[in-house]
Amino acid sequence: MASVKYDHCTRIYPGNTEPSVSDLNLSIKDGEFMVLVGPSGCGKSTTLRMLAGLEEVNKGRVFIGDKDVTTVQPKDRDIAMVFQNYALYPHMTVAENMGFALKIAGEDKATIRKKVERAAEILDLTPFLDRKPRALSGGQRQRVAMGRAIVRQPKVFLMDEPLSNLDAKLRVQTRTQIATLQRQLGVTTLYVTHDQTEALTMGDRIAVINLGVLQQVGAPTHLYEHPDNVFVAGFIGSPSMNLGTYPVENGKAKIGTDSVTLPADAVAKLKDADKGRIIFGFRPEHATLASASDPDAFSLYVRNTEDLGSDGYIYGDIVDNDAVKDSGTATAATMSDQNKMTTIRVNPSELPNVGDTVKIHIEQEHMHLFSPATGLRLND
Amino acid sequence: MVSVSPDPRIAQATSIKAEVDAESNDQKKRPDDKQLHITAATTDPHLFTLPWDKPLSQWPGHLLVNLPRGISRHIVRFVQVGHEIDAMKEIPRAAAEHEYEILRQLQKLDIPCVAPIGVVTGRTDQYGSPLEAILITRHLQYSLPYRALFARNVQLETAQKLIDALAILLVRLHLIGFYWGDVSLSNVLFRRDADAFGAFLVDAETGSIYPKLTDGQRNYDVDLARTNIIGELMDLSSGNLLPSNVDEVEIGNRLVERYNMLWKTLTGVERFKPNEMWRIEKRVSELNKLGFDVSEMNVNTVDGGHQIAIRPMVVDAGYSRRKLLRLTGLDVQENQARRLLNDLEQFRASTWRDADDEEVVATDWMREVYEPTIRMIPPEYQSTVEPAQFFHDVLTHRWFMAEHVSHDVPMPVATADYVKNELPKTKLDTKALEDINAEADAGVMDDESADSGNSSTSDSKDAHQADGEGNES
Ligand SMILES: Nc1ncnc2c1ncn2[C@@H]1O[C@H](COP(=O)(O)OP(=O)(O)O)[C@@H](O)[C@H]1O
Ligand SMILES: Nc1ncnc2c1ncn2[C@@H]1O[C@H](COP(=O)(O)OP(=O)(O)O)[C@@H](O)[C@H]1O
Ligand SMILES: [Mg+2]
Ligand SMILES: [Mg+2]
Repeated sequence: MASVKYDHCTRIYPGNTEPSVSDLNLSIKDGEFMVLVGPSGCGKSTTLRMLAGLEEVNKGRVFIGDKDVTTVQPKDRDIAMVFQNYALYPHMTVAENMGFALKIAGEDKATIRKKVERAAEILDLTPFLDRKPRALSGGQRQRVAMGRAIVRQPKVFLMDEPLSNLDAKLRVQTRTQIATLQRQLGVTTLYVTHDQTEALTMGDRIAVINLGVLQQVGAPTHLYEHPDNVFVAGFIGSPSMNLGTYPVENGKAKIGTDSVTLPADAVAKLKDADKGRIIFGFRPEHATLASASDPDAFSLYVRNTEDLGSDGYIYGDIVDNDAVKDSGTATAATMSDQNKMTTIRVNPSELPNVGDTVKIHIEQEHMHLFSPATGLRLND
Repeated sequence: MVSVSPDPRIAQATSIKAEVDAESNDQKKRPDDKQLHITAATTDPHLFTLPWDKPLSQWPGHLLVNLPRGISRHIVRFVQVGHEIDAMKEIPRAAAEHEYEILRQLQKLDIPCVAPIGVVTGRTDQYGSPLEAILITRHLQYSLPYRALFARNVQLETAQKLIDALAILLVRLHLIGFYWGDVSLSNVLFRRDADAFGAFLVDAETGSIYPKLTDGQRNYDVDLARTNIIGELMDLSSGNLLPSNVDEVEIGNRLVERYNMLWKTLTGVERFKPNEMWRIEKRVSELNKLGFDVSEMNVNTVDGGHQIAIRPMVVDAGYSRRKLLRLTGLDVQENQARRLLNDLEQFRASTWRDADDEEVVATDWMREVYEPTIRMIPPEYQSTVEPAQFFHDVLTHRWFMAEHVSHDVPMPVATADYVKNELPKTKLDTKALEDINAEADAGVMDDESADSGNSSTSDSKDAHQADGEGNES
């Protein structure tokens, strides 16, 4: 078992001018489940492959434990790549399917059996060890595939989107299994996904990466409650955070026709480069319906509502009479971006009618405020 | 937990409406998840009549074509669509769209692979619940999965030839910047190519294309190929399908050796003195022998003009293939092409026409030799026997006959004898086919198919589904 450290790691592919991973500093603790999350092409697989020894590190160093492995051959790093696609072999028993890679590696029969039995126990596959895949259910087959990945007990597991091509039901099941499994085995794990829900539900900590640059590292709740910048704010959470850029006048954000009081310390941090504007964000569940006369609320024109039984969702456009006048269209300016409506979660009994205009209040502690110039967070 | 859609009738209604994108249509338009949508390069009207509202595992038997399949994680079925046979693979939407796009790019780059036909998304069953997307590819005619080849008594040599074919395919893919991520015998199809095999890529799900692969990306693919091949052979061995003199690990290692040898020959820099320029020609002819065409050679002087360094720049397989295509219009595989060209050359020599135009002789050879032979393929073999391979096999058979009787045997005689005595041996019997496809399904990670694989059809998920099936029959 071991910790992992990326120390100022940069990877530029031959022929590219921009680095695919840029000056990465990241430490993974011994036994920790670290999830690397970000949009497709942001450099997740490259990061993982640098640790595996499959990608050259142009600048910086990689450590496993205390050992600098930057130039160590992949096979000498004691890591296991967990692949996306494990096929099950029909003539082999469950035990053979799980253990055959150890056999190739030349381990003796008794050791293999011991390791396979241990993995099977964790995966609830013990009664099936001597059966063939044909006799198993789809979920059990998926567990055998996992078993094939985990029988080797390496220092580090590397998993690159292992669930991405499973059907939705199996994906949710397997997600939980991997997380449980990792905790039982206690093997340091770097797990790559583009799916932030997967990241939030699985990781001890999450590293968010965009355009090859690490954005923020932290526990799921921390990233959710305290995103350091606009990218993390918009990327983490589903439904995603409502975000919009508004003028600031006398310590208040002018949101559509209304004004909302901002925390003074955040306003104080605005710079000239921000040009008197602020990025204002809030999560759908942190909005409350206010009375029509509330001076510290903005107006939302209700375009659609959804009653999911336990939750109600309001989708609407922020009312901005000026914009309506200016553009001459009926569509008001929108909060998050031009195509996405503002999303509000309420108790289903509070759902307004489509076509209503409602007032929305956000507590200051639930505001996420960012500098338009730098994208960095302004409030605590 | 059940999620309720606003009005079930809406889902019902939209699931009937189908839209088709001609391939040039804008990519930006993202059809929504509840509306059946077929993206296809060609729009065969037969596609619309298929039961898209049923899980692939429950498609009625009369639509399916029973041909051997390799082991897979997803459900794959062959379906008769008009005059064509298509392979359908049930797979999440993002993966289907990705694989379709990758296959199209590979096809444009002239890589041997299955032809992408389309992607079907927005499927819902009759109750409005979503079904996974389907990737459609054209069934690769005359091809066999490795398990079907091993169902006959194979020799060690055959196993080696399959590996050699896979090595060539992998090198070609890496040359164009394709990183596979899932190299295995199950993810290629084999076609006989004269005395060798040609390998075709069938599963591009995990692949991506980059301007140029790094050594790390290539080595990952090669190492994974080795592990998978050894696993696949160990599996055959567990099923007593592997000849006892085949060592799984040795065969796996062979892939690594062949790949490295090919990669070096194709891309390696060679240095020599300025008075050894003949070495350029030698290198080109070596590459031609391997079936690769050199369209550009990078020549540099190094070491202050005392040495020449050469590196083949653009290499592409299919040297003989293109020559035969130009001469006869026949599009066949590389080794078949070489054999056919040899026969053409002999025809030319034996008819004393060395002075004639190559094209003219080729036309006569087609009319007098090739076509009459091909016409003797019995109708029941026409969908499984590739004409050029048949011709090759008849030539080989004729050679053995001639040796036996110590004089030349005319082509029609050899052909008739081959059809009578050899051709029937190539048939895959029904039992073997059944076993292969049951094995292919044994690893599918899908609960419905796993249930049906357990032979009890009443096992299906819930009552209304059973009803649906009852109404059908
Ligand atoms: N061999 C290569 N040559 C050039 N660019 C590459 C190569 N491999 C990956 N890239 C680029 O590096 C970036 C990061 O890729 P990757 O690490 O695969 O991203 P992710 O895993 O987040 O999707 C992408 O822009 C990708 O196109
Ligand atoms: N176009 C095709 N032509 C012939 N066989 C095919 C075709 N598509 C799929 N198959 C067969 O189905 C098997 C499984 O397909 P594959 O794409 O590898 O599925 P999976 O992604 O689940 O592994 C292949 O091994 C091959 O035998
Ligand atoms: Mg990736
Ligand atoms: Mg496959």
